[in-house]
Amino acid sequence: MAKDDSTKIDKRKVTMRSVRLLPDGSTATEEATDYVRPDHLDVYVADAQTRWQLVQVSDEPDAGPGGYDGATSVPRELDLPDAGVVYPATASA
Amino acid sequence: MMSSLPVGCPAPDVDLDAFLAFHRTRFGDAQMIASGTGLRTTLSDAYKAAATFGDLYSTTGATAAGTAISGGAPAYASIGFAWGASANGVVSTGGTVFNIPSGATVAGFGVKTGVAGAYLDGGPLTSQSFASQGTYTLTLTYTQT
Repeated sequence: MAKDDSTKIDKRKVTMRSVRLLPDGSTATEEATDYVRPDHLDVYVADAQTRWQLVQVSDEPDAGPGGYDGATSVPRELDLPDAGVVYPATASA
Repeated sequence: MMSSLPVGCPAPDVDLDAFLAFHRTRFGDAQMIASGTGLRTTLSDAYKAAATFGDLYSTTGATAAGTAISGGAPAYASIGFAWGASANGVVSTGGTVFNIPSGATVAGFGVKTGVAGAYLDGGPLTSQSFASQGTYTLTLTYTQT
């Protein structure tokens, strides 16, 4: 059965990097990679830039390992109308 | 290369806790400074040998283990570190990639002695709430002073 494209979410890959000096003098290089809906992207990136040293957004859609049908959570700390909402995974068949 | 140790001092690469306890009885809580690069490398090798696995936490790691992330597909799991060679008391892991489920918040990390081993070390990380299934790559560099 053909899949309904109206359910497709064109997420963007967001890569965030920082280097942190730990209390004992060691260092941790951190890289978080998340996949964010376009309608959440600007707020998500603005929030990430308050903590991370570098934030990059992919030019092309990329749903990541969860796929286009994967669950999406809207971080509750974001200034978005649906902050805290969890959109469950949709059926892929 | 082994450095000479004081009489009665356990070798740090055999029993790091006993080595540290031996020196604490002599120096109290004062910070120990390893004076030779050989000793620093021996100590960093001992840390590397003990700190074999890592976890990410939804809470800030510090003096005790935090709450480990769970769930997701591919699922979150503790990951074994791939440490490089020590040089002058400095040793680094390769990039250790953890799977993070949608909705999880990463806030800290811990280092432990095995996949279900004892907690050794940890600390805060740059906090991030994940919108979708993603990854968090951690590269640790341990420096023995």
